Amino acid sequence: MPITTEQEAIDTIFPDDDTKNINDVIQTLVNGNLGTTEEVKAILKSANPSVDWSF
Amino acid sequence: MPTINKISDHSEMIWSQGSTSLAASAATTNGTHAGAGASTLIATYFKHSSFNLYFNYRAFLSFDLSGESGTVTGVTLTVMRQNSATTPILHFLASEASDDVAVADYQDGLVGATGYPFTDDVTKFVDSGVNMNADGGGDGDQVTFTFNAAAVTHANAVMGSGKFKVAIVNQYDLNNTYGSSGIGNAFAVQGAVFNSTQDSTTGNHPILNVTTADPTIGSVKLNGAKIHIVNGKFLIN
Repeated sequence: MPITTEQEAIDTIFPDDDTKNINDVIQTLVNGNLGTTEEVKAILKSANPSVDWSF
Repeated sequence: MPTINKISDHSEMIWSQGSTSLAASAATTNGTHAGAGASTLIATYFKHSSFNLYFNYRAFLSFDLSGESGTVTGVTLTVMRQNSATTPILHFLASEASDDVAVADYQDGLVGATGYPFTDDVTKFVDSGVNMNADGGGDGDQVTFTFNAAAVTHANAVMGSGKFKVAIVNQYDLNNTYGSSGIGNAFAVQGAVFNSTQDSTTGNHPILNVTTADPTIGSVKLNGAKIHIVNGKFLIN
């Protein structure tokens, strides 16, 4: 199921680590060659417009 | 035999970002993004259904042979790797993409492609594709792929007058088999990643190695005449 909240995005990548935040999610995707930090932010927003992102 | 090592003038990627499936992203006529600023050259995919992210990438490489001469007898392509991934198989196809690749080149940049899938319509420069597991090297390695007779023919057609262009696509894209691939979610682009011409180090850019036939050496019969070089002048008496 697609995420509906920012916390779900964090839990998707870090299910057992409550010290992680959305910046860690973004950095993981940057490291995965998805784009720059700003590009990844734009990608997440465009693909999940209903999520209330903090960035 | 002489070999020309031509550094690419443009090697960049185009991708289609969709929200439903990798198959749907592969099937779009145009891409959604052209990687003019990315140092990566990708011809694979990214999928994470939880984020609604389905990316299919194609890479387009261009080499200017307009200033070269000779009869081409062999063509190889050398690229620099950014990772050590071993799958999927990559296919090298004749390309007619614009020099500054744009989203419209996503499908139109492939010679012969008039729709999707284009499996039987495109021209392959490596007959059966490249298994990166067997042929690929690792992160930071330069790897070289040997092209076939179709590539040699194409190189001869543009030698001295144009650009040699090649596209890289992956096996699921070429064969329209994303739907049956069983590809799962991941947090990174999968498969081999190369350096584009946006990389800051020119030595990391793709190189086309063009081998040409030895030049023919002619002979002149003088039939009793003599050659003199006098004060820098070349004289025949």
